[in-house]
Amino acid sequence: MGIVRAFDPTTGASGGSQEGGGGGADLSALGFTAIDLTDGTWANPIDDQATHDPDDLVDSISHSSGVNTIVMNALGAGSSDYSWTSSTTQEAPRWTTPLYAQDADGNNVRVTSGDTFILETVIEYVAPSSSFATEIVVATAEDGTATTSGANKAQGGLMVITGAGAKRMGAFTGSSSDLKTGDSNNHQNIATANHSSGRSQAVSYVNVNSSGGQLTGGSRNSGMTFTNTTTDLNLMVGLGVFSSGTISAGEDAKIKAYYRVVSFTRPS
Amino acid sequence: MPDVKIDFQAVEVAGISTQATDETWWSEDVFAIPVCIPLAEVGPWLAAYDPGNQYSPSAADSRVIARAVLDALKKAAED
Repeated sequence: MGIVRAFDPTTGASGGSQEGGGGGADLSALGFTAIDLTDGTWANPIDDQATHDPDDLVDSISHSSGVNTIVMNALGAGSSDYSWTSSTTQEAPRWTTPLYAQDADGNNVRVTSGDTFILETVIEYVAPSSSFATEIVVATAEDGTATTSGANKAQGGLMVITGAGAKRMGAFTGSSSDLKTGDSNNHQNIATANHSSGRSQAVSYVNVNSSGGQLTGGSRNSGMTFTNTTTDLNLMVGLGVFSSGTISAGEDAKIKAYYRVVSFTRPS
Repeated sequence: MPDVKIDFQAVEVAGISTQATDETWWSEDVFAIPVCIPLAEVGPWLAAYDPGNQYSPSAADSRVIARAVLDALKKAAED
């Protein structure tokens, strides 16, 4: 079964596996929401540069057929500060939107730091036109606009592109990562980020080929404690530079990704 | 002599990016081998180690950790 939209990301209307709507979610066949960074719901590096791209690395953002294309400005002096996984300083570009789960009627319900929930993400490889050493993360975040991992408290799926066709996939936890070795058959990274009661604990992942067959997988603990149990959380898409690489003006990244939040009522 | 345990079922080959004990950052493809110190052994291990003494810990104590790690590495590399 292909990936389908469970709900319209803008209107919240049900669709995909939720045919008919209003009857509650079919937990045997939940679909994903495709990420369109231009749909107007995302705070972004162009409109919100001070908080989402403090060093002006993004030149333009466009979207077509499910693929977000990000064209970059030059970064002549590489720094781990632009990597999501190599420094507690996080100055890489990011997009943020409120983190929602949908109720039985398809209405958005904001997820807070005290909730028991999982974020399921899919990051799919799409070859860039002219690549740089790229990190792409799709993650929950307590903040998402901060320049330190201690304030962002983010965790989710991760894809790293280190050269033409060289893609690695894994987990992003705070400011660290677990990646499997590069595999030319890597097609999608499917990650599950676990949260409950004011804590984000871990990310596990499976990497699959274009037929959906498993290639490898892994996991990493994050063990991050949220500031409290009442903070509205965000979904964050981060675009960074692997390690401390540089960027030439005009190089690009193509982000094709999906997510789904499932929130539970904890038995008391 | 203090003891250590290896969580061999959790040994994996992975690319890890993280901070070392001295808070320096490293990123490397590695065999990740979890070394587990039983809580009852924490005191004896710390008592056996003086970071200011270049000859600490003793060769015998060092071999306990080294052999546990290397046995796991050897087995994992051969599997």
